Amino acid sequence: VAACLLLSACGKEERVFLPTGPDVIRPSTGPIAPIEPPSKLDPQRVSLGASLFTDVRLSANGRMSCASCHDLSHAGADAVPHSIGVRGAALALNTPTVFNSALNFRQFWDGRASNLEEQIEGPLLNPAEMGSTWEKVLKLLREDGKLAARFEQSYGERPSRASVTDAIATFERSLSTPDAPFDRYIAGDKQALSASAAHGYELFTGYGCSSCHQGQGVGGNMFQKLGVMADYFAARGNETEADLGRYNITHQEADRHVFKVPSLRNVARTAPYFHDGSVARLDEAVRVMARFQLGRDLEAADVNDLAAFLESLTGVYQGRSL
Amino acid sequence: MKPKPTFVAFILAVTGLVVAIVFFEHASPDHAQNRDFVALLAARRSLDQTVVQHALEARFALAANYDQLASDDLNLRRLQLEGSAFLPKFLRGAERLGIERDLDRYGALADRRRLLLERFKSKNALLRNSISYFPSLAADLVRRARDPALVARVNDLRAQTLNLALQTNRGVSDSQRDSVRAVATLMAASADASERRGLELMLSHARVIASEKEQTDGLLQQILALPIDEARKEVSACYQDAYLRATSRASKFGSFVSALSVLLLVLVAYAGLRLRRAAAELGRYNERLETAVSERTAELNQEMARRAQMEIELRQAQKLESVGQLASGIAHEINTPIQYVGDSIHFLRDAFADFTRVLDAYRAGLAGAEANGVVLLPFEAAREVEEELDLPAMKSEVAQAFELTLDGTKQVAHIVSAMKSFAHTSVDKAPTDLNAAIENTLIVARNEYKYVAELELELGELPEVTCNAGGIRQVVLNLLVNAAHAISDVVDKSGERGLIRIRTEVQGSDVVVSITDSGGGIPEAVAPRIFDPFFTTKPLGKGSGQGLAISRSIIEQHAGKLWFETTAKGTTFFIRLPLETEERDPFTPAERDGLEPSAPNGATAPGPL
Repeated sequence: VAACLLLSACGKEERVFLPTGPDVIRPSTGPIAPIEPPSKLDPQRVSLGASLFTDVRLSANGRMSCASCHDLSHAGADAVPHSIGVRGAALALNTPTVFNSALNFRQFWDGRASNLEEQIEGPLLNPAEMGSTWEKVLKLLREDGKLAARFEQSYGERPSRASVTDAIATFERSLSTPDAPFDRYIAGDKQALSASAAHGYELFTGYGCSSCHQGQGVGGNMFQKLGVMADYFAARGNETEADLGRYNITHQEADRHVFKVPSLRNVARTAPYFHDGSVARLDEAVRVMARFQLGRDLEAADVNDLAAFLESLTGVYQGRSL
Repeated sequence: MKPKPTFVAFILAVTGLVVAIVFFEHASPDHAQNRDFVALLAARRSLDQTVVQHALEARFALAANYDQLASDDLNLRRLQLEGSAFLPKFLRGAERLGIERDLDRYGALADRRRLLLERFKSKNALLRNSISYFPSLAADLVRRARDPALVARVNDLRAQTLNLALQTNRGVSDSQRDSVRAVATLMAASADASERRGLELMLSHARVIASEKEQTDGLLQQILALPIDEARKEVSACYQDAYLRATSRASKFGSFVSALSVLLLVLVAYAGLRLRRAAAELGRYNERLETAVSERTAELNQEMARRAQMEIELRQAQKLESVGQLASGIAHEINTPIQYVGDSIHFLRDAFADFTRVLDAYRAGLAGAEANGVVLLPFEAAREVEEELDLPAMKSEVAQAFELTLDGTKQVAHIVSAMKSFAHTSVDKAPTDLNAAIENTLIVARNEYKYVAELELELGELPEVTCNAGGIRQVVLNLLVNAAHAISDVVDKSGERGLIRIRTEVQGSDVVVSITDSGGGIPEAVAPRIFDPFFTTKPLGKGSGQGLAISRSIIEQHAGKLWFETTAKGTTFFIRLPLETEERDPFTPAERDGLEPSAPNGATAPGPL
């Protein structure tokens, strides 16, 4: 006892604490910054997350996976305004792309998740979406000896809530699309954009689009009200609860119809548009934005140029342009 | 010297209590935890400053995007101070609760700032949106306008509005209001629909700028007014105080723990010492116990040997007694016939003498008749027989024969008498004539020695010795037999006869009997063991090994001593007996000594027949 007391009086254990998370977003001087591809991702965990991303055991009926809605071959989203959940019913909001989702400062249209790890549980446990439970998912994954062995190798443990989420989040961080023509353009390659797209970029900043759609993600780093200069929801009609946006989270009048500004990266490939998926075409989406956020109707040439600029935001994933 | 168990339990309980208190109170601030927490506070301070700076940069378009603010938000969330996850463990009780409360306040303020910042970003984006769009909108109107007054009004509104946007400390000015009003008037008067729409859009953007500027700046003011730095400093100060207190407390407890450790070590050492002492004592006790056990065992062995000896003696005594009784019976049986044999021989001798006298008278008468010339022929035949028998010679021979016969019967009576007296095996002590006892023994044992040794007796004048005569006779017999055996060993080789000398004398208050033989002596190797029970050098069947052991036992029962001196030319055994024996026999009450002197001891005096 005396020896123990002496030891405890003298010995001090060293504890290192380092919070982990995604890389710090690099600041940039222009409104739009080129995408910095993620670094330091554990390839084993990325590969494990890729397997889980397409694993139907994560859904209640064993038919859906993350990729059912976030189809990587379809720019990380699906082609429908509202994806169909595990119960066969259409979901309330349009599915955003999973590409570059790590650049979003919050997740979901209403920004209720602080990071990808938090986001993953949303669709997984939402009865309308994948509708599963951790208990069930982990049981199924642990029964898979090969998969469990990969977990053992990557995380030193069998599949757990933490390791499954981490694997999927790590995979999603790898879904970055750098090397868009516009990124090359701002890096100095003036040939990277057509004249129309270059003019579109001028309009994009001149009309103030880049007040919200800025940063690496060309959006995704702030909230904004939909319908600043005109009432979008009155014009559209059929206002739903989901249309309340951030109000559903904060219950503050100022947050009514406020959504996370979506990233415009790969926007040309992620139709249909807006939180309600109500617009199928890019030029139409540009017009709608100009009308409700800027208060003016754009001329066709401007819309065309803006669309050309938006086309130039399509990046490269695994060596291929989306 | 033995501490009471209650005292030991008390000491243990107190020590345990102190150890428990020290264990729970002894929380030295973990340096790594402290360093991390202080670093976290410093990082938060830095972020608290930069986030405001970045908001101001965004407000004045010094930053082109919100990536910086988003990054700050991410870092602030990463360096989460709220809750107690990163609170060093040494903080406890009220201190911890106080700091947690301060942290909660700071966290609530940070949350409030985050909310305000998000609103600010949105409002500022709208402001920036309109400010970006405003010049091109104005330029568009100016380009299309035909009325120079309109151009002037539009340019004025543009200047007024953008000027307003740049002022953070001023609200909408009168001139701006005038400018808006003027543009509104012009718009109402305009006949061109597209121009009207353009003016309307300009006015609405001017209104947006005015309102969003006010809101943006209001939000910024709110953000700047948040007492977040004060709250953090409060946390910092409280933590510093708590840390200093904990450090001094820990150092106090550290010294206390050291002191306690030393005390415990001393206690342990003391306990160890005591244990060692106790072990040593136990060892000594064990040794003593072993000694005691071995002594007791030896005593027991001795006692057992003594008992065995006594049993042997008892049996011997019983044997001797029965032999004695037998001998006594036989002696008695012989005694009667030998008496009338003796009497008859006496009578025969006298009768023969009488017959001889008659014969002599007849012969004298006959010789007188012859001398007178009377020849009596019938007597011739008698004369011839007389001459043939050599009567005179026969006469003397017969007399001799009678003497011999009488001697023989006298000897037989002597033996019988000795046997009778020897057979008296009472263990009781009585005044005894030792010389007589020795002589009796010699008679009985005569057969043992008469062929190997001459006997030489030097019996001195002895007073009566109070002793067990049977026992003493047994001792003398044993020694005599041993002496005869010792001599016969030598005689067998040399063919000579040996000598046994028996002496008795008074030495002071003792009587000493010595029996010396001319045998080969007792070998040195054997000498120390000859008194051991069952020790014998004699061939199997010739000796039991009991003789000397029993002898010594008997003599010791008389408070006497039996010992020997030996050379290669012979051995002398000495018996020393006190004239008045102190009673040593536990079987015999001491007072019997005084009661017995008058006891009949006829058997000890071998009287003539």
